[in-house]
Order: sequence, then structure tokens, then C-alpha cells
Amino acid sequence: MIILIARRLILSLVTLFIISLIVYVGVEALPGDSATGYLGQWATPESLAALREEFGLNDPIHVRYINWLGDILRGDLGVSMVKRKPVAELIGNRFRNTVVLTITSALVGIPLAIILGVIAGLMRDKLPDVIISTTSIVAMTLPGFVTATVLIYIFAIRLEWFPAITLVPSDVSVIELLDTMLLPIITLTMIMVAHILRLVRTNMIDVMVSDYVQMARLKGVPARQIVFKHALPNAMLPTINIVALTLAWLVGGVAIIETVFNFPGIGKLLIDAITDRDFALVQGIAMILSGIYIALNLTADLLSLVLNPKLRTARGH
Amino acid sequence: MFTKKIHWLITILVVLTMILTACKGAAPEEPVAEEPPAEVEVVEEPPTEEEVVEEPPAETRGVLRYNTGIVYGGLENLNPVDPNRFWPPISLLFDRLATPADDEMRPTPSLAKSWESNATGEVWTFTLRDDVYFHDGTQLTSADVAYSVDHWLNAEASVIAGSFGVVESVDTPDDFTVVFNLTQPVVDFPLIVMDYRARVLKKGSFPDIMETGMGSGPFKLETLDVGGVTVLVANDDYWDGPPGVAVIEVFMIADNEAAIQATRAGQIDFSIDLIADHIPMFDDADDFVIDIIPTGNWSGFVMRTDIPPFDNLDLRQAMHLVVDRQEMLDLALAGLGEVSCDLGITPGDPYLIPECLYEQDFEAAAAKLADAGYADGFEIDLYTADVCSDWTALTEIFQQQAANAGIEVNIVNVSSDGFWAEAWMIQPFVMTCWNERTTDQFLNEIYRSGGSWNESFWNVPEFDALLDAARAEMDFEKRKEHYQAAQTMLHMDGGTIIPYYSGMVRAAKTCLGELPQIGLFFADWNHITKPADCE
Repeated sequence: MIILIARRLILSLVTLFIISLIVYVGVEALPGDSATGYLGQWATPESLAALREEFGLNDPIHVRYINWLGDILRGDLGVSMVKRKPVAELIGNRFRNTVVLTITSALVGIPLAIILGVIAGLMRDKLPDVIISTTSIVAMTLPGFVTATVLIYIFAIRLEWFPAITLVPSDVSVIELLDTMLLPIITLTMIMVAHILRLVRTNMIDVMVSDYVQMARLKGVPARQIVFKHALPNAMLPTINIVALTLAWLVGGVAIIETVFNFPGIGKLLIDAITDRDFALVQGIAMILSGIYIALNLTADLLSLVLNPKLRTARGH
Repeated sequence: MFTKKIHWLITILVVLTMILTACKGAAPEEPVAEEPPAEVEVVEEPPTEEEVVEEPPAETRGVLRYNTGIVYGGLENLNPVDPNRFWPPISLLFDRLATPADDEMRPTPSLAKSWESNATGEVWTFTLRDDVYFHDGTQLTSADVAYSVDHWLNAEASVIAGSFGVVESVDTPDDFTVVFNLTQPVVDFPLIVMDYRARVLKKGSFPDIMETGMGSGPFKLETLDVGGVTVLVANDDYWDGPPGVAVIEVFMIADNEAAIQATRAGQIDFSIDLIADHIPMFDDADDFVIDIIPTGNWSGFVMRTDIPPFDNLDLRQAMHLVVDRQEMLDLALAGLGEVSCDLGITPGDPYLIPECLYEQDFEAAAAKLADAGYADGFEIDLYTADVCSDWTALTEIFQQQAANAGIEVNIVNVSSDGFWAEAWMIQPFVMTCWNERTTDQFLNEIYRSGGSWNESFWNVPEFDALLDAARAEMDFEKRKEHYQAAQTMLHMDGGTIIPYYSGMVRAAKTCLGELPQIGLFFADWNHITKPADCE
């Protein structure tokens, strides 16, 4: 068991290293050079040379990569050339904001998805199932920015219940932030519910026709007890992975939603950084997001191991 | 047992609903709660009565909110002459010596109450107001102006160092008199002084003003947050009277669509970044008014006049002749703008030539092509990028129009961040875009021989001579003749095709007062009003 966990950990670190290589080379390979991009229409040969010198852009790429990796390992994400501030400082509050948005959406979305999934699974092919399944699929299929725009139109412009976009600086308190987050949370919930819901529903259906549930029924166990005590725990096990994936997707994938709602989060910062060719910032955010993705997946794997005896030996199933 | 649980659930739900309702109710109460203490104070403390009489009571003025896009990648700062200047707060914090009239590009008094020149236009004497105070309470004097001129000329990367290059020295014979000694006669020197970037700073206040924003303007800086919300409060001791709003909040909103949504939902009071497609969104919004405001901003096609193929005058003229300016305006901007005759001078400028001297003419263009040695047709690469919003439309329309005269245009898209460094002022035929300028600025900054932004490499001694003659000519009509002759040269023979000036589409709440029908570079912020109940 410990060997298994250690192997997973080492594999994760190797993955992270490979990602760092891809991120660095990929960002460097973008057309245009950050110095010309930054100085734009008013660049002069002298100012370009000075900027390249200041940020060490004249070194060969492998030298720069090794320097950058060394800095990252020491916890230093570098300095943004465009914004002239340490990357860590730029990311700071915005990362917190994205985490707040993600967690709040997950707290709303995941229980909702599970409850709806169980209901749909238990009432397979009946009217509630049809309504839940169809609605969730439609909500998932609509691109996030369309959902966001429709919600803004209905709730901000027509009904005037919520603010249309977030108009607060990135360093406000969490309480103030929550106040402006309602529409982004609803949008994210609409997108993520279907994935989890579909899986819970399918598992629920499978479990409900399984032998031990049949047996319990024959023994005269009350229906409620069958569902909550026997069926649900078994149906939930496979959803751990998809919940982890959803959380990871939320942290990294909310960029468009953040942009539409002007939400001061890390995704919006990433998009701005790419537009500005702000290499250090793009690389820093990409590494953080990859780290979270890997960490969440690792946690999900380990959780499954702990909860499912069948997976606990190193030899496999 | 089951019913008990349901009872619990219902109880929790009810409590939650009550909490939520309470939270919602709290928000509108806030302003109401703040108001009474203010009134009580006024009654209790007689010494403040004087102030109360002079100023409108604070609670009648509202908070003006508007947006700005990311123009310089979030690098914006408060140095008025910096290439990355953060324009919205700078225009509120600092004043200039002269400001444009409401309706035309004519200098009118601001910090300077009057000015005059000697007989030749080489020495200009400005008389300052004696009732202007900076935000820290010190009085504005000629020493501050001398310091500011030095800043305009010598600050690192100053964007107006060029136009103020004619200033040889500044004398301050007394506290309220400033004398500019110029290297050459410049009859329209007040126009140069009126430059929107030529802001007067307190002596010795740079670089501290990058943090404090301490100037003499109608608003004082409270918080500077370039990427978020910048807050300014009214300077009620302003020399031109207290401002019409109590607070201004400037929001930087990167995504333009988000900004328009926020405007439509009433979160911000006005936005100037609309395009024609946004106008229907406001059709059923009775509390908003849409204005189409002429500006002198422009996009255009630049031919390098110094290298083949466009060092050939006949070929350049053929390129000018294939253009239907009105069609370009209608298709690229849905007609929201004004036709230009290859000039980027703010409409309303007294020296601007009134109308174009030729129209689209394919036969004449074909004849010119033949004269140029391209009787069998001409093929050229046009370099563009996703830099200015109308370039894609413009390049495609030009491609269509030129094809009618046998000119084959290949559109070459380059990456937007590499465009200025790798295509502009390098390739023979590229797109460009500029903000509006006065006649003298436009002709000198973009077309004088050897200028660093002479993008068409226009190097014509007679043209430079016309500009010098205009600057030295004391008689308005004769000066106008010189400037118009120079403009006509560009229109007939020049390397730049400028089809139109783009209009600015603005959506604003109807309860705002005195929002002028001019570009925001020239707005008189002090007189814009917003009542507190305008939300």
C-alpha cells in the first residue's frame, strides 16, 4: 500500500516536470517576442535591447529554462515583464478569488448533482428523470459564455436582481466578493452538474438492480434504508474521480466565465497575460493550475484506494 | 421520524430565507442611514455654515461610474507625458494652461487667463490665474509652470517632447507670468500648449505624483488601482467651482462586452466603447441615451513613398483613385463616422480642407496604372494584424474596390504583437491607426521629413517649407492657405489613404447632466453632473 502511494507520488512529480518543459517551450514558441510585443508601436532598437538585457532574453533557451525551473523549485515564480511586479504578488489575491468561486460553486453544484442523480436513477425513465436528464444535458451543452449572457440578460438587465458583472478590486474581502458572485456560481453550476449527475444516475441504476439490493428487498428492508444505506455508498464510489476532475476543471476552466463576468480571478489574469505575451506570468499560472490538477487527481486516486478494498494491492485488481 | 425531519428542513429553510431577505434589505438602507447624521452635524456646528452655503450639500451629488479598457496592458501610470499614461484619472487630477472650446479645436483660458505673443510669434507671454491651489493647499505660480515645461521636455520617453521642442527657454518675471522663448516663430503656440498631455504639475512633485496624483484638478485621488477601481473625490475648492459629482469611480474592464452589459444593467453610468452592433441593446432602455460623437481618430493604408513600388507617384495616385470612402465608412463602421480626405485632423479644426478633391474613378485609376508602367495589372501585399478593430473590414473592402481597376491586393495577416515591430514602417504597404490631432500636430508628427513616426517616409522639402511658413505666418487666412496646401499635397500625392474618421458611440444614463458631445479628451469634467438619485 505504501509502495503504491509512493509510486503514485513519484509519477505525479515526473508528470509535473514534463508539464513544466511543455509549458516553457510552448510559451516560448508563441509567435512574436515578448519585448517587441510589450513595446509595440513605440519600440526603438535601443529600448528593445535594454529590455532584452534586463530580462535575460538574450540567453539561449535551455539556460533560461534551467534558471526558471531552479527559481520555481525555490518557490520564486519570477517577475512579470509587462506588469513589472513579482508573479506571485500578481497571482496572490486572484488565486484566492478563483478558489472561493470554485469552492462555492462546488458546494452548490456537487450536492445538487448527487441529489438529482439519485432521484433520476431511482425514477428511471419516468417524468422526473426525463426532465432532470434533459435539462442538465441542455445546461451542459450550452457554451458557458452563452449561459452567462442569457443569465445576465434575465437577472441583471430585465429583473435587476443581481449585478451584471463583478466591479470590485481583486483584494476585497471574501464577504464582499460573495455578493457579486451569484451569476458566475449559477453559470458554473449549470455547466458542471450534468457530468456528475449522469454518472450518479447510471451507477444508481446499476446498483439498484444488483443482487445484494434484490436480496435486501426480498428480506423486506425498507426502501429508504436500501437507498441510503446500501445503494448510495456503492454508487458514490466511482463519482469521487469525476468530482476531482470537475474541481480541477473549475479552477483552470473558469477563464471564460471570469472574463465574461469581469471576475478578478486567475483565469482572467491568464487570458490577459497571454494577450500581453507576459511569459513569466503565463508560465507561473500554468504551473499552478497543473499542480492543482495533478494534486486533485492524486487525492481522488488515493481516496478510491482507501474506500475500495479491491484496489488496495500493488498487483492491481 | 420522517415527518420530524421534514419539519426540521422547513424550519431551516425558513430561517435561511429570513437571513437572505435581511441581507438583501440592508443594502438599500445604507445611504439612507448615512444621510441624517450629515444634516445633524450641519445644524450643530455653526462654524461649518459658510462652507455649506458655498458648496452644494454633499448628498445631492452622486457617484459617477464609468469604464476604461486595458489600453497599455495594465501598465498605466499617472505621469501625464508617459507613453503608458492612465488617461482617465490624469484628466481629472491635473489642469492645463489652455483647454479647447466646447465646439471646436480653439484654445480657451484655463490655468492661464490670457496670452499674447510678440510681433513675430517667437516670444509668448502667458498670464496665470491667481486663484489656483494644488490639492495640498499651495498656490500655483509661474515656477510650477516652468517646472512642468521642463518635465514635458525632459521626462524619460516624454510623448510631447517633440512638439515642445520649439521651446528654447522659459522665463518667470513674476509669480503669475510665464514667458516662452521659442527657437522659431510658432503662431499657433497656444494650440501646442493645449495638448491634452501638457498638464501642469507642482514644482518638484514628480515622481511622487505617480502615487499621490496631487495636482490642481477638479478631483483628488483617493485610491489608484489600475486593474480594478480607481476612486477620485471632488475637489470642492476647485478654482472653477465645485464639481457636479461627489465621487468618480473608474473601472478597468478588460472585456468590452462585459463593460457594455454592465452599462445596460445600470452598474456604470456611461460607456464610450460601443460599436454599431451594440445600439439595438439600448432600444428599449428609456433611461439611456445613445450619442454618436465625431472624433478625429482614424485607420488607414500606408504606402512607403521612399522605396519601390510606391516611390512611383502615378501608382500612388492610382491607389487613391480606387477608394470609395463612403462605402468603406458604411461597410466597416455601419456609417458611424465621417468621410476623411486622407487627413487625420480633428473635424472642426479651422485649417481642415472642407471636402475631397476627387472621387472613386476606375478609368482614371487604370490610366494612372498604365502611366506607372503597370498596364497589365498590379499585385501588392497588404500587411495587417488584429490590432485596430476596423482593419479586417477595411482590408477586405479595399481588396474588392482595387480589383475593379486591375489591382490585385493580397492580404497578409501577421501576429498582432509583432505587427508594429515587423511590418509597420518596414513593408511597403501596411495598415495603421492613430488618435486625432490638430492640423499642426498631424502634419508635423506624421509627415515632416525625418520624423521618427513618419510612417509613409514622406520626404518632400516643399511640404516642410509650407509647414514652416504656416508656423511663422501671423495672418490667419494666409496661414490657413499654407496648411491647406500641405494637406492637399498629402491628399493628392501622399502615401497614406485615410478613408474616414471613426465616430464614438456612447451610451449614457439620461439623468447625467452636461455630458458634452465631444470626445472625452476634451471633456470638461468639472461640469458633468449626476444627482444622487440617478442610479
